[in-house]
Amino acid sequence: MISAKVGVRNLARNRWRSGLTLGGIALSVAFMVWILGFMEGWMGAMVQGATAVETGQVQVHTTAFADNPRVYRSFPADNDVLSTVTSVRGVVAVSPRVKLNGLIGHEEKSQVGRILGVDPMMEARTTPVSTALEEGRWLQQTPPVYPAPREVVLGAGMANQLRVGPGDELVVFVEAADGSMGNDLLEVVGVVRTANTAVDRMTAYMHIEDARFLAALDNDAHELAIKTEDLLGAQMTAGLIAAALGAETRGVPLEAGGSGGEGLETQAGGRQDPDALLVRPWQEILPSIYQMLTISRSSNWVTYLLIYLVAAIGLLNTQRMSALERKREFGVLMAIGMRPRKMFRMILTESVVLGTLGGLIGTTLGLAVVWYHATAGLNLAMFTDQGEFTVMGVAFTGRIYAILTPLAALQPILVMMFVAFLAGLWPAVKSAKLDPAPTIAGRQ
Amino acid sequence: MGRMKTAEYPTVAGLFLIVGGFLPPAVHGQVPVPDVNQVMDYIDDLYRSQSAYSLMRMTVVRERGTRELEMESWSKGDDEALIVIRSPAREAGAATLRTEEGLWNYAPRADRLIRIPSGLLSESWMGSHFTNDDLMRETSYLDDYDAVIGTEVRDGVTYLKATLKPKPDAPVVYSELVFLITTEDWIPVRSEYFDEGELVRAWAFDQIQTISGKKIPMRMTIIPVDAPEEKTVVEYLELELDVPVDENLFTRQGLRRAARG
Repeated sequence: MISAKVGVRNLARNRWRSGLTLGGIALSVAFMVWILGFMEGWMGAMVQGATAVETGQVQVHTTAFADNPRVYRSFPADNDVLSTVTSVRGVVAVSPRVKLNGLIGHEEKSQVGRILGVDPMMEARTTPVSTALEEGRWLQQTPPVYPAPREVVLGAGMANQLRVGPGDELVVFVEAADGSMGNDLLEVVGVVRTANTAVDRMTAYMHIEDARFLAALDNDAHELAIKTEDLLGAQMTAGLIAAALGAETRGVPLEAGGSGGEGLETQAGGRQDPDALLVRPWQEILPSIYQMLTISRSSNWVTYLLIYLVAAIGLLNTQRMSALERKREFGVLMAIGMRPRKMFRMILTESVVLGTLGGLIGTTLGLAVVWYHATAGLNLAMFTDQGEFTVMGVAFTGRIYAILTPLAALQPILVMMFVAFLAGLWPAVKSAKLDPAPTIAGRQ
Repeated sequence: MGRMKTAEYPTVAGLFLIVGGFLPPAVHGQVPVPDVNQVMDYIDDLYRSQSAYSLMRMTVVRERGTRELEMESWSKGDDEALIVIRSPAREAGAATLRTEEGLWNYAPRADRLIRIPSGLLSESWMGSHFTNDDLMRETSYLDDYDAVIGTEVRDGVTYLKATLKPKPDAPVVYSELVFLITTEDWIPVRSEYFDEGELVRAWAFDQIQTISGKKIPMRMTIIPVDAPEEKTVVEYLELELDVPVDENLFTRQGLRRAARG
């Protein structure tokens, strides 16, 4: 305990120097706290933007459709299946979808688009698409009676490309499940602008019944889009859904959902059957986004290295200088019987105290900034001319909100304490090895 | 449909204006190689002449099953053609119209036309192994390809072989086209489409009949190389050349009338 006391007193001797070192450490820690908090928010927004509208957090397809989406690779999505999925823990909502590729347009212009046949209410519960309306309204729960045109809601980019808006008519041509060409007349009832470029540029939403008729699909669907309670728990929820449906999963066997052996069996057996259902979390559906997330997590350590290296060198310099200044003093201490180990501990304590104190100040500072950006957000769009920028198919228009996590609050200071310990080792070893006589005499 | 076929052949109209049934010279003994433009022009005009009417049966064999469609077609000159599907009921009335301005599909259920953008030219026509480009032929063999002619022996028979290679900046899908043609009557037997030196699809012609004094294969089979178990077969049930065709047929109104009829 005496070493801590002496250590703190020693630090107070050269206030300027200690203060500056402390400041450097505090800023480094504050910066890391902010980086972690901001990256968490950014990645969250990224995954949210990529999964919320387009995919949901978990999806179910037939194995064959997942490998190569063809119109006839559908499966019966009856109420039994839907209620089985809905009853799984962690599932918020489920939306059966018919996914078609076809030509949409009119006499002057047309383009290849992706037609999503959805149940208007279930889709609205699963994704925020119905709240992203720029013009018009969302699909009615009951499709209009023939010969009235079928309702369609277009992505904003597609509406713009075809130069249509609510009230305009469109024609659609798709290859149906039986190989024939389905065609129908559509009326644009709404235009949506989501943050997802795939949706905005090429998606047309129709009532699932209309899409089934168009593609000769009876009561089938191609996809179940599932909204889960939280993003990171999607893998576990996918495992539970697969167990409930008797479906398979891919990737690493999960802890959740039945025994590992059972899971492997269905996996091996199911691969042969193209009609078997496959349940995948967003991490598997959007591997590029997931990879980016993983890379950004590990790239935090590179940031740590760069920022903390500078702080550590400053700390090392301070400690070494102060040890050199007090060499004679140390010599005397040793001469009157201080054990080298105690000497070592004293110097090291100084270093760790500096790191901890700086870390506390830095964490406080960093948390304050993160708190500000978590509530007020940070407007990244101000750095672009268009007021919007797109990363991996996710358009960011507004602010990005930092997220305050325990990791961001605790990790930077703990890492800094460890770094301070390392930085103190060398001066401490050096001081502990002093030979009292020549040191006091000034010969060493 | 006759239009679709002829669309496959080089358009050399304007270079050699050979009107009506140009008859190839009879060849004996050694095969002299005729002028490539004459041959291609003859082939080009084979199914079309000045105007044509036909009734066709198209059989599309896919991995998952076989579809059979009956279609009527009319064509006039180089640029105007109309194809209407008559059966099965689900697709009856669907039509494709080609004019100088572009290519349209007619959706009978919607009673509307939809323009087929040029970006979709290499896509499948009505789910068959035909492409929209086979109908549209926006690229011109004369402008976009260099043609050479020679002979080739296949299965012990000597054929004329026309090889077409795209000119450097030509906007074409294929890297080489080969036509095999009989030496005596200039009847096409086979055409082959290469992409980067690899054969991607082949057309085979057979069931020769004499129509309006010309010997014409009445059946064509398209075989995609990457799916050899699949094919699209087109048979002419009726083919009339140089018959009067109503000019108004190739308008939106004419199309509607024909499609509903």
